[in-house]
Amino acid sequence: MARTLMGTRIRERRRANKLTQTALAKTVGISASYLNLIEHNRRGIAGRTMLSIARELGMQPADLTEGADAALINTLTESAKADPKAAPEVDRIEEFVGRYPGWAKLLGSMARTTHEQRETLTAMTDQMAHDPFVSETMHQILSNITAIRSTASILATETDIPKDMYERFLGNLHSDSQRLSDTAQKMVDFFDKEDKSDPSAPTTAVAHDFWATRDYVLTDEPETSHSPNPQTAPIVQDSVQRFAQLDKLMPVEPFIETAEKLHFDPIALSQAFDVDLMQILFRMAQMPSDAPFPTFGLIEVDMSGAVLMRKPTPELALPLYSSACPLWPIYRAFAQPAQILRTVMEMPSGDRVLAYALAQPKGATDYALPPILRSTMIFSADPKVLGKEQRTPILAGLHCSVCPRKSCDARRVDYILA
Amino acid sequence: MHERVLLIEDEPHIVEALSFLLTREGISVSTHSDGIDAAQTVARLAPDLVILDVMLPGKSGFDILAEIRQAEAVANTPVLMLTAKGQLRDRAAAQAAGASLFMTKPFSNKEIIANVKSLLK
Repeated sequence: MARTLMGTRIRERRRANKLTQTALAKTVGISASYLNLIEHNRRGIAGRTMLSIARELGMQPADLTEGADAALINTLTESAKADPKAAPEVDRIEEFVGRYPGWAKLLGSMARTTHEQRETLTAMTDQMAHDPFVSETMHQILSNITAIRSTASILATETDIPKDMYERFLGNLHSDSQRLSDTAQKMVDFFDKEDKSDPSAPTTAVAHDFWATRDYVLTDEPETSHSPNPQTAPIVQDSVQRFAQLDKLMPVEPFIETAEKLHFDPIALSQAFDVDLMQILFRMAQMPSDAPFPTFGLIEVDMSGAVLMRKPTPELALPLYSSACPLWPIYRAFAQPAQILRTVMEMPSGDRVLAYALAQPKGATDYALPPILRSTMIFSADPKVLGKEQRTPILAGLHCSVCPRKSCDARRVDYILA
Repeated sequence: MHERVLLIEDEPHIVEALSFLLTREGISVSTHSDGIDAAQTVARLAPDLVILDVMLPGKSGFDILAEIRQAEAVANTPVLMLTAKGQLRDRAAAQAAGASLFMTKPFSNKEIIANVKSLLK
């Protein structure tokens, strides 16, 4: 296997180096016809010849040997066996690995990931079916429901129930409903805990968890461990670096004092501190919770709508990943990059928030490519911020499925409670 | 003479509700809440019908049913099994152990009374 791969690699590398067989053969001291046989995997090489060829091609000798590719070929072979309907050219796997090493590695990596995920899924299904806690809790829930159903049915349909029995059944209903509620809560806690410890949780969820557990502010205290190491996620790194700048450019106490004077106006604050408007938005939302400052929620999305950072408030819950209300100004801001938008939104509950939204390019500019934009919206229902804002509110929601506004042109899916 | 049912169930409020309903139907009800000595209670009382929960403290309903079927004096007693699981394998296990009927929780009062009457005929 190593021999055949080596030939393919030599041929590919020689072509990449724009060398003829004759030229390479001459340099390493073998005949062109022998090199041709090597390249077509009909002759093996080792020792001095292999070292010479590796040197002339600018490769490490180890790159020509089998090494980790044996495992890769095995993985691909196993994958091919697992899906015979796709009719992969099994007899050409070695050639594939030799000619397209990057694609082969990617395919191998995907095959391994699929296999691991399948095993995880099987383990989770097995756990669900046999987990003693789940099994016991389900039994408790169903027993409770049975008792409640039977008792309620007696009270609703039976006549002449003796008074003592009637009162006893009422008491049973009360205690059973309480037990049912407690058991359901335990079940929710169980799955909530499981979800947080799941190492395959989406990166964005890791980022949300990172900030939520710190109340959206970083302190100087050493970081405690958070699974799975959230600092490795680029979006967490971005937001951590950004926060470090906020504290440096706009320390909390002077910022509070200035913000009060300037009526929490982002543009005025940007001018007062001579910092970017976007930084002002993040500073306003990322204040210590015990600071005398209005609570601002925050949501940051990229152009695909993926939620990169979120800080919900009681007035405005936020989606975890995407699919928020398209009427939010955070999406409109993409049409007007660098233009801050000021909007009052009214939720179906009647709660109103004042929202500021701003989209800005991320990363370096390029002549050939449009900018990569990220949009951020901060919002507050605090009277100090909302004040006497008179502008007509946008009648928005959280997401169509939980929004009762019937005649909305932005509706994508039905209201689930309709 | 009243027909006699032994209800083996560890959830006290289900026991109270079913006892009330069965008594109203003119059936004499005895109850038992533990798995360990349930089969002995069946042998001692020799009821006309046993209503048996699958998940009991100490011993499973399937094991108790197997013991009942092996006790000559009560081996032919009809047994209505109750389970909160309701899974196919439980149904198969109940049938294999010799259950006369199998009901999953939650059930309706009408349904269980109808089944009890049917098994007592």
